[in-house]
Amino acid sequence: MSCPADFFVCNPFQYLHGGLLAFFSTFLPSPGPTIVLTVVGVAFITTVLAIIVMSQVWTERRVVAMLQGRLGPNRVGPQGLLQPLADVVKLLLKEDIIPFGADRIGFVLAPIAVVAPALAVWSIIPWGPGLAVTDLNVGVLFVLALGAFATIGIITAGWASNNKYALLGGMRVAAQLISYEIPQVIMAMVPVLLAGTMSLGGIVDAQAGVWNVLVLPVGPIALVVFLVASIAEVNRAPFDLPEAESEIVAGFHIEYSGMRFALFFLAEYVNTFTVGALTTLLFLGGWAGPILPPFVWFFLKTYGVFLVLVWIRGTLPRLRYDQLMEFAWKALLPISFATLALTAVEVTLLK
Amino acid sequence: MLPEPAPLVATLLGATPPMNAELLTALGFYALAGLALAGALGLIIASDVFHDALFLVLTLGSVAGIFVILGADFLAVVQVLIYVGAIMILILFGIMLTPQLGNLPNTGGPGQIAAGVIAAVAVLGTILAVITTATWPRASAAPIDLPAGTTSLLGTSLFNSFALPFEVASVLLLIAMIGALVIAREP
Amino acid sequence: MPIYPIALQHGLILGAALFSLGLAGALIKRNAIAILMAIELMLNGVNVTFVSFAQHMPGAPGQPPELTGQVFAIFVITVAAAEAAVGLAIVLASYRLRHTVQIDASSSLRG
Repeated sequence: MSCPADFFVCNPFQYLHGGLLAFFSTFLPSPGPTIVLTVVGVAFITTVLAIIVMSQVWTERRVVAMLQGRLGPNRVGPQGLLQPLADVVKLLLKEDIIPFGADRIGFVLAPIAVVAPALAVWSIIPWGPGLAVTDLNVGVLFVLALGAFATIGIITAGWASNNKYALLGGMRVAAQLISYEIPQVIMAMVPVLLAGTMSLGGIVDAQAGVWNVLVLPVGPIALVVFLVASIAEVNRAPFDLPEAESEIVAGFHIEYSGMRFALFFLAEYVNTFTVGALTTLLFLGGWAGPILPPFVWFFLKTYGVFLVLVWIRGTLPRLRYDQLMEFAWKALLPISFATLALTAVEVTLLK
Repeated sequence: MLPEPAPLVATLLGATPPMNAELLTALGFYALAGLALAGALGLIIASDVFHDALFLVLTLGSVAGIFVILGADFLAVVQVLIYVGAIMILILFGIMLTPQLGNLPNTGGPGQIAAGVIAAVAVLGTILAVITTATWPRASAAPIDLPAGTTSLLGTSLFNSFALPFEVASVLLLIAMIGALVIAREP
Repeated sequence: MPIYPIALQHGLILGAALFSLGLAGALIKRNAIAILMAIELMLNGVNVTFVSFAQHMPGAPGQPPELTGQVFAIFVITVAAAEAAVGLAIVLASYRLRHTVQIDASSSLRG
């Protein structure tokens, strides 16, 4: 039994939106309230994401410490809960350095080019039924396409820093992202085929009966391949070669400090959370779930996927570079092609 | 009484009356066209190849926006996914793999520049003359409403009327892939 | 969401301008990769033209629009991808041979 949609607790954002719209309509002319509410909505989503990122940092450090038999941050605040806040303050107070010989424009623009798409993706990710800034009918591809701009930003950062380690990191990013983008996009097409639409809301609606992950035999394979390719896309361990400390110091963001570094950091965690959200929407039934409100289910599942990513990070060692490329082209790519073909057959037979 | 549940934030275009939507569409088109042309100019003027690539990314992104305004949503996403996500990254990769000693000039000598500009102006003039003098069947059409987007229409076209070109295109991609591998391989 | 059409000529002029700028770039530039990028720009100008036409040719009344122009744009993008891959491979092979990507260095066939 699911939360009734017309019950306030289940749908607070929509009632809030309706109330604000009525309030602003009393003294603003026609397009005014919509514009104001768009700005309010964007600010709201960004704030929520910032809070989520801080909670992610704390969770990740504590969980990885637990997996590795350490304590993790536990000094600032109860259980170290205020540690992320302290980190933010530290980052904001740091000196902002632009290295000598760097390409100034590229160096300044790169972090923005990385963080803007990461946040923009959340304009079309629905938290519940109809609960997104807008629902595009090419939603899935839009999310994956926005990632391309971030990649350009990362490569620019590596190139503009005038540092050979940064350049190496940038080149690794370019190769890795091109390689893993293909299985990722193809596996995102499996739910699209099953649902017959590319709108994220539509895909969730199509899973009302059976979650895509339970559609045998393609569902589980698609989920695993999508998750693995996505981990590589967001440069997380065990695919974090672009920023491998032991080989190329810190990779593309080696020369960045202070606020600009914080932007890369923010984008990385937002992207990780986006992977969780996409996995939830494409394979795990989105916001569907009993009793609790839809948006709570959405965030619970997304956070669950994030915990799996943390678990993987704490468990697996980093790949070697040739292993990374071999894995993408010789393992993931054939599997994803076969899965897509199988899905097409299955959809045709079921129809 | 509680207000009606509404989408969290309705889209800007969807919620404004038609007159405003038309105006906003036109404004968006000209702004994006300006950005695209600025990027193209930057591509020509910039002295650094990497800056060339960044300017081209600006143009490609703006053209994707223009595609949205022209009612080609699927094509816009494909444009970003393939041009920005694959071709430009490949080109940036190529730029990084071919470092040059010293600061070699990116553009040719004055003669080459003059020849290029003259040729481009001649081509542009010819096309503009055709565009302005020809009589077009429909100078401006009525608003098109495609609630489901263009994706399924394009898919139907590609696999019915254009099935043969589609297959040829796939063979072309295969040949290009093998050719690129053979050419770029270490001898 | 209804699409409000832009006057056909404006789209065509933008396409023509992008094409000409790309042509100028392809003729002026010396770096082989920059020339490749200029050619991509020309192809994009063509795409803008195709999509403008697609918007103004909705097909028979009552029928869903045919979008032939958009289909052509998809083929152009395909060709552009193939061209970029082969072009870059040639540039890399030439760079390995001469350690430069300046096109005027490739003059060994000149008598």
